[in-house]
Amino acid sequence: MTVRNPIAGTAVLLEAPNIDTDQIMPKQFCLRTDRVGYEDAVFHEWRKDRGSILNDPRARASPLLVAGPNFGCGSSREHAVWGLLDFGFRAVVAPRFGDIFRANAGAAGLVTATVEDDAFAALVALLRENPGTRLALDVVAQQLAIGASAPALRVRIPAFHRHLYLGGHTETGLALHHDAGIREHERRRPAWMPTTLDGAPAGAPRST
Amino acid sequence: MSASTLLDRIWDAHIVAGATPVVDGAEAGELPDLLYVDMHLIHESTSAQAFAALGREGAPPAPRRAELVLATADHTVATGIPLIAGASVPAASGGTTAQAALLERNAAAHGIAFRGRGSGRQGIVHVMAPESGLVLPGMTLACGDSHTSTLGAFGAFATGIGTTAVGQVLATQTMWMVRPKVLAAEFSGTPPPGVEAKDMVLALIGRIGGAGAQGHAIEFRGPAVRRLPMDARMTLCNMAPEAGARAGMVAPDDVTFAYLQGLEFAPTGALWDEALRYWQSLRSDPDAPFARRVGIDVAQLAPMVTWGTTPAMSAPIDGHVPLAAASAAPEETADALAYMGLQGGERIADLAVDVVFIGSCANARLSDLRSAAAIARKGKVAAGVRAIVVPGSERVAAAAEREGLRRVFEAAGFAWGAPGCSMCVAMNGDQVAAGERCAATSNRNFRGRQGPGARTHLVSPATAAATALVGRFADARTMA
Repeated sequence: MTVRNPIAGTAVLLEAPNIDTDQIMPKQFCLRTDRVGYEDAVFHEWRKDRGSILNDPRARASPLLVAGPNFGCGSSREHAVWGLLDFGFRAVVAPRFGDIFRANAGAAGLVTATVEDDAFAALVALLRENPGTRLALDVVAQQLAIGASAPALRVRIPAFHRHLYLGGHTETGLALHHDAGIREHERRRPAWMPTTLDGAPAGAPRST
Repeated sequence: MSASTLLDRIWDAHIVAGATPVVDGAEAGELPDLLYVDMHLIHESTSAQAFAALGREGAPPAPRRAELVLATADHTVATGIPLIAGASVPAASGGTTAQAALLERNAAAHGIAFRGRGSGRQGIVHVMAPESGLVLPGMTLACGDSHTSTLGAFGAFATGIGTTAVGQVLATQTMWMVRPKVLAAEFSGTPPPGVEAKDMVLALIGRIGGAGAQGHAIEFRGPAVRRLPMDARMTLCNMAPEAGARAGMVAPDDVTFAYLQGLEFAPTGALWDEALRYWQSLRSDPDAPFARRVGIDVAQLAPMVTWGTTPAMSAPIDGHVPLAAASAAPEETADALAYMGLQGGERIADLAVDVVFIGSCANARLSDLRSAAAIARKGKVAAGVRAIVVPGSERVAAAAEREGLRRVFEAAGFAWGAPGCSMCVAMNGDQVAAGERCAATSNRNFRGRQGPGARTHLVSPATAAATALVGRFADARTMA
């Protein structure tokens, strides 16, 4: 796999705070059992509004999403990340992210970069004024370059996610390197820890 | 030895590998640890793609420890409640039964215990797992579901993960995780009758905000928590993600141990004694390094009702919907009010509801149903209100039926459904129609959560029952 860095191009701006994963990927699409083809599902309700920026032809060609604080809060559904990737985004820039969304994004190869609040405000103002501004997110340097001349913004991308993205690693692959450590841990596990093989017939719940 | 939190004690006992790899520019506390997962819970809506990842990209073809995985179907299963007006089975889905059937096949293929409908042990994953004794103090648990935090009520570290991580846990029984900081939420005082755990945690979320505990686990502490039974402690921990937290926790105590003793999977004999000695050591030191402390006097609390589109947007039952212009975030408040069909300034108690939903992993355990039934037995569901009760598990349903609670609900005009997530995540066809107002005991009031255009107000079971009888948001303190 070739690593794409920097991630450069135009950006879609969704500046509302607290965009939860129910908005990003409505529940009905979580009934699917495959992992590809979520490009039409992402932001499904929002895209019913014809004026939505997500319906602008430029949106599908934009590798960057700039979003309001606490983006991806709520449900752990990784389908939200898959939908953003299938739509064409490679990175999301926001002041803060929901913790599980951010972890899911890192595992699935969607870069999440945080910016300081005042830098975010400036970025929003710029994209409102010039929606076609080209940005370049450098995952190594943790910098977001804006247009041709403005100074680059400092961003933060979790170190582990940079390692995964730039090295083309998977989390499972990295964990498998620790097989000996896993075995050692399993030897030390207390005997009272349950397995689903133990247990008596079904009983009533304990009333509390 | 330096002072530790409850989280630290559990975390340190589960590190398989320290913070690796070493990455240029990494800050202290930024890198994850590889943690062993003592019990992995799976449900149908976030596991199919994880099973498909087995045997690919170097992953082993089978789960590493099938006996440390428990499966059930909850998100998509039918409750048997007739579809309500205006709602339908979600489109673009390929049907609602395919996922549960696929999970059952995957479980059978890999020797994973599956608790299906009719087994007597099926239910919402966060309800059925602890009632079987598979959630014990000091354990780590993971599930592809944010409300896995519920299980921290036992003094465990339990967290929601995505589907890629579900695949990793299947393959390796481990997960990569950055150690969260700990926010100590200290609850003092005695709550007025009719004020429940749901009200306590909604008050906390309202205080610190929907991202107030981001990067943290919340340890629920203090005398008002110690007095709560396990069911209510699970309600507190269930809602921790609504403040942005990765987990909720309560240190185990005699209430915990009494709940566990004799359960299906709880240890017995000498193993129980050994476990108990360890469990009694699981608490935060008096000088533990909490990143933050928040104190709430529950004697001052009233039943809470959310008015907006995040769980942090709430008001006391005797309060008002805020005015957008007077709020700290006027634009966001105005958007939320518009979605909710509110002007701002209304009395909460004047808002009429169309639907009442008592269920979900927040509030569908036996004590929740008892609390709601105690009010339901005093009247009839108001004309024009559709009220439903969906128990959290088959065990809860059976116990509630034995106690006569189902009869109480049905006599009052509530419909009674088969256990599952139902109208909380609204994936199984149980939906609220566009523009309808629903009082729900669930945990999320996001736009469209209960169906496109649905308006959700989060409340406690007592408030939900009182509201069903009155037809408007009603004060459980005067009806309890």
